[in-house]
Amino acid sequence: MRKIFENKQFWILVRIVLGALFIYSSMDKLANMGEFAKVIYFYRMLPAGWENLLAIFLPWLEFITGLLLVVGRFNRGASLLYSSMLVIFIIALSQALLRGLDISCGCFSVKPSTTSEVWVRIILDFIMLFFSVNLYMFLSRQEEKINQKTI
Amino acid sequence: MSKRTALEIAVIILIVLVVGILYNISSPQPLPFIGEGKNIDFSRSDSLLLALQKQDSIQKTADSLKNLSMKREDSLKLLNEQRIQDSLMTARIQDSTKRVNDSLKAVQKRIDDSLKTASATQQDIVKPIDIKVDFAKALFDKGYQFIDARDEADYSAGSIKGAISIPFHHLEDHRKRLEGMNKDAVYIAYCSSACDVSIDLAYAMAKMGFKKVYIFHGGWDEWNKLGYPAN
Repeated sequence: MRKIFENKQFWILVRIVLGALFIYSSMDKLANMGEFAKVIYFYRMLPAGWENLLAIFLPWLEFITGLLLVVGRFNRGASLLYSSMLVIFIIALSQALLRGLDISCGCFSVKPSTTSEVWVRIILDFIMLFFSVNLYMFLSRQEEKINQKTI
Repeated sequence: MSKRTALEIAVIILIVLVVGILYNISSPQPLPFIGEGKNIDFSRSDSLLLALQKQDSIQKTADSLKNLSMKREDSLKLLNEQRIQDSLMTARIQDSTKRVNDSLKAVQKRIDDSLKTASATQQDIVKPIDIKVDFAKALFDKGYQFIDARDEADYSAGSIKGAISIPFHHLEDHRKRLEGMNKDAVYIAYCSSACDVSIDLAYAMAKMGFKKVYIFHGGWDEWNKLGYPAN
């Protein structure tokens, strides 16, 4: 297991899969920004009216972060942003479930989802978070090694 | 976090801001950067409840006046019969009976007019009205139809007695059913308490041509807490 986690090829694959997932999840939101704003509103985490700002920028943040991970540019910044977004998603989903809000997840599309589907999304987000944090740490270690070599 | 990572994040955010703004502006249906939000206006809930209570009390007064008038007519008839025997008083008694009847008729007319006014305040509602639990209960007592906008699982777990389930998240599946419903009847949409699907359902119904849709904001949570009739 440890060997796999030190394998550069493995992390390239992880990076591409994680990036592709975010690109895929941003597509439907970009095509239906209005619907996505409604989904955000149902989470009741933002002051009324602010959901539009998030609906405009969040899908692009997902898309660009995902794209950068796929093409292998700005990897550390992108993976850190990726992990931060996942933490926010997990908090948003969990608080909505705990408060008993009728939410439509808005995770991979703006279509409605059931409570059990939201739980699955939270678990999936945790798995993605595990890999994105480890990807960031792997990339940091790689950079340290390069720095030490140059010194 | 190294300087390089911070710089990368800053660049990504800058790109996102620029692309997001450009995409939104060039979109066929651009979103306003700050939305309008959903304002809940309970101002009509209390006045409508008052109108409903007034309607009830007027109805009661009308009934009691009707009974009183019948009793009075009976007693006047008796009195009349007695006094007919006293030939000198007959004409005067008939005159007073007529006057009492006229005044009773005038009171009845005024009651009818106020009843019409009270019911008119409930008619011609196109925009859904936000209501509180007390008015919702009054409407429930009158036998109006409640609509549960939550998901079917939540509806099955517990709902307002007699309410039908039309989950807003699956509105399209229920559109035919809604089309078949009487658009002039009174409906009360509700969900849990911290939710908006009742608002969205009510407005969707209003758009479909329903004229009297109310939004009960306390929803199932408040109803259940107060121990009101439930399924």
